[in-house]
Amino acid sequence: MIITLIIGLVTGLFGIIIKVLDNSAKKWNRAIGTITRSELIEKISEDTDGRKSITYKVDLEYSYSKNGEGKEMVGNQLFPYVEAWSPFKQEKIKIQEKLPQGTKVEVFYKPGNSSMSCLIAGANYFPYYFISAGLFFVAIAVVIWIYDLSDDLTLVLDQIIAK
Amino acid sequence: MRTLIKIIYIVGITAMFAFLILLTVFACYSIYKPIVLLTENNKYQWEEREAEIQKVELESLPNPDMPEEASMVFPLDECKIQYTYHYGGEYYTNTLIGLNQEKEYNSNFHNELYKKLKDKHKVIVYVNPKNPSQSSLLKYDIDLKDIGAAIAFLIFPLLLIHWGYVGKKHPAEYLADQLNIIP
Repeated sequence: MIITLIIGLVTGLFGIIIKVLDNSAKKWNRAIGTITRSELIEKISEDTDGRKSITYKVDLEYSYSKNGEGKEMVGNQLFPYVEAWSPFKQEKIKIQEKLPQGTKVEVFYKPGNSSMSCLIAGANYFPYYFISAGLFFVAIAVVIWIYDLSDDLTLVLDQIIAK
Repeated sequence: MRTLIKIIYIVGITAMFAFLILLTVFACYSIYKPIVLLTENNKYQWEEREAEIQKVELESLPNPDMPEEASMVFPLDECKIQYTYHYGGEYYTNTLIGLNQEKEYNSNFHNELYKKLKDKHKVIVYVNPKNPSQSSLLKYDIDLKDIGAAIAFLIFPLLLIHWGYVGKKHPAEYLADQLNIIP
């Protein structure tokens, strides 16, 4: 039960933290960047049973400069803080189609650390999957706890009040 | 080939949908049982009274799970109580403890109950105001396993519904539309 609860809390908290950080990136400074690389890449993973799963990512590289002047910086993040691997190929194709090499695009960069940047802020919906999966595991832990509790007959005895 | 994939997809979706409905029905049935227990005879309106314990005994009954010749070697103990209470100007006598019949109460439980009651003179009982002869020591004896089962049956459909909703709300072009392309 404890392990299930910990898995649930860690997964749920991970989702919440990523979503909060993602939303906070909407307040980052903005600059105009230029796409220098945009490729669809795939990663094939194999589990212990030999089942394969494919995830996709748009391998991006863009250049931008703070306040549009000064040293040119290079970024490669679609979202702030997290990589954007996902099993949805069509979604990645649409992104890649919209970002051919040479495209001018709005870049978000962190105020105090301008080397940290991304192209999409506050719209990453993947944390929702983690939050609900976390709640799922917490609910399983609650079920296990209820089953343990139901075997404890002292709960029934304690309801009987004798003087 | 495409038609076959389409058929497999439709069959798969239908089977998944039917499975989710089945789980939801099981969840509703599991939660229905404790609700019935809480509301039968308007139990939530039963009033608390102090009753005098007339008799407490620990009876040894033949164990129905054993062969007849051995049924009294490992008997089942059962705590029996008789109590009297005063309600609406009249005295009533009852023996009901109010244990949930669907739960298993072993000899150990009845021994503990007997130990708890044997030296006591008074006990709190709950009386049905509409039928004062009806009373019990326990107001509710819900089987927590029913509530656990209801949650267990419901969490998987809820997870899938949420994931389906998130997927539907964010179609393939959603992220691409969030990119701000400078003309």
